[in-house]
Amino acid sequence: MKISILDDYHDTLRTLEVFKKLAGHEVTVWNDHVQDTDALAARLADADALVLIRERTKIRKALLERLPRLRLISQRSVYPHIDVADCTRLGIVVCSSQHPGSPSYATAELAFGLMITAMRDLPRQIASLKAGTWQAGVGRTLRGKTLGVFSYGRIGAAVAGYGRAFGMKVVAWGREPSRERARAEGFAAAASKEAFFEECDVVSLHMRLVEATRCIVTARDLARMKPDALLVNTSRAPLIEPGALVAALKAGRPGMAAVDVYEEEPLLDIRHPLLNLPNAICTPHLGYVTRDEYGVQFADVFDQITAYAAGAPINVVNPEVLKNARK
Amino acid sequence: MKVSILDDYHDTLRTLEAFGKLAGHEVTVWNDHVQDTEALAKRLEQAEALVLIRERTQIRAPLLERLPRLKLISQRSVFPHIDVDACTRLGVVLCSNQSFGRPSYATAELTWGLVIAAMRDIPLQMESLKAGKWQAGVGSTLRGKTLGILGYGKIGAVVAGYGKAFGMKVLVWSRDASRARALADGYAAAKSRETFFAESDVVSLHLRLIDATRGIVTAADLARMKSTALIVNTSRAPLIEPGALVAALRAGRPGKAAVDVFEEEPVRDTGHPLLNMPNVVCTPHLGYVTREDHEIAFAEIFDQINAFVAGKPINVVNPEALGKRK
Repeated sequence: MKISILDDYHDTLRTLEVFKKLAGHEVTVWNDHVQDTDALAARLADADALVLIRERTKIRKALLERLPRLRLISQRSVYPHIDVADCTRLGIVVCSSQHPGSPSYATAELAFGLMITAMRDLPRQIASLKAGTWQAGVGRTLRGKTLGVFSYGRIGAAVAGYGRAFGMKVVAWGREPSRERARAEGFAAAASKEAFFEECDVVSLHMRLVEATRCIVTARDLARMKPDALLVNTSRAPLIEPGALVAALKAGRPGMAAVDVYEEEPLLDIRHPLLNLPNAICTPHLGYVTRDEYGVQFADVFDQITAYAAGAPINVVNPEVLKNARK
Repeated sequence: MKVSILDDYHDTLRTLEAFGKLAGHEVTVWNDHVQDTEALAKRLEQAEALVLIRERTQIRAPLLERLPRLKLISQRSVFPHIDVDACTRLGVVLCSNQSFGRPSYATAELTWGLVIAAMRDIPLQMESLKAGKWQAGVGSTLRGKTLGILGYGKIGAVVAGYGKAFGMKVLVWSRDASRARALADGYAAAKSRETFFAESDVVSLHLRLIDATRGIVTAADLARMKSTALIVNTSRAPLIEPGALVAALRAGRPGKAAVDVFEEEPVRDTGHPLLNMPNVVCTPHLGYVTREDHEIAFAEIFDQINAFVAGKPINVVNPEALGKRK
């Protein structure tokens, strides 16, 4: 099959052990990011199979209708960026493992790393040292502080475990089943959403973005946080009301934020307000970006291609398509 | 008493709750760093008690001889920067608590922050984002990798616990007594020093600097590390052979370093080689620099002053000096 891979910014996939699974296929890898429909249609004109890295490129109807050869899209996790109904109508199979059971430890580790980075003001301290002015202030210890995990899903549970190992008091918030799971695993659940935001020294967001969670963190929630508290978002930007985080940081509650996710990605506008606030630490959506995580994820993604090629597709998101799938 | 405090760079001590313990004393706080004997003699000529923050300023005989009113130096932890014999001869009592039961969690936490910052290239990635270039590369996950702890003392044991919680394999290399403690705590000990450096994906140093540990990490040790491995030093720079780390990083083994400690501190030279290597994350000796650790440390240091004033000095390093009190 002719396989096209989009958005492999650092040409990492070829260097992974699992890339061997594609041996025998004709693979084209694109390293830049393009969203223009004409450009994508030209790039993918010959593609039988399309590999997507997370939600980096939107695959909408207008593009799909211009890809007559495309038979398979293989990716992993959620797919708000794909018009699945159009794929089904056009006979394109969408395979996307929902990876039950295994959290992205890479994301959990990054969330914790950002906590320490922020509490110790590492970017400013590093800059001060490089400028010849030695130390730039006094940081804070995590031990004994309250870590709020919102909510207690797979990644939230991993982060809660790290917090416990660091001697933090861990408090969970979320829907009742997630709070129940937190309690069952020995963590506290907050009495209310208000109490959760008021009490925590660090709040870390760990939720999928679905309609029910969009804007689940409001300006009022943020205003309840302590002036020396930290908000960490390694999940999705739209979990927070649009504009609320920047306004809250300017108002001083919470005092700091560490942010890995943005409303529009990739974020290429250096004037973006979060990039220009002294109390925000910003990273370019690195949560899942480790060689190890890529190894795990692309084993799944490439297995989906070989299973499809062998006539036994797996993790099919739109099984209705199989009746009239393109050959 | 007239109490002088040196090197409080950010005027933090006044803002601590523990500072209340100095009520009734006449306290002078200096926020800059000065090592010149003339300048120090002038600053401290009225001082009866001197508070030191870690090893920031060296207190040698030529200075001590010019401080006729000085009766007490109060500080915490080790004192390679103080000429204790000269203190004793001149009747200056040195109080320095060294038997703190609690490890410096601030240092252990910083170590972990540096491990993740280096494995994920956080400083470089932040720069790339701020420059409008989005991501700058692909990091490494800690889970499943091998964490090598060199020196299983109080801080080493805490960092080993973090590694375990992050799903790492923890490997310890240490003297016999502490190795036995690591084994009892459920960690593996390396078969040899060679395998310790060769197998670890992250090596973190947690040793006190004494004569026996000076230069304990050699160029040969570093050369055994993997090209993808990281070495973290939040202990003391001279634990590594002089110049060996820079040379090793240039040679590509280990591939990365995170460094909080330097041969000469404070580092003011922006041309320092470690500050100019893309594969090194450097911080300005922040290990113990948190409000919480300062509260604990300075409560003890100020208690030492009050105990001395009350005629019942505690944590005295040179009891012989008590007989010669001015």
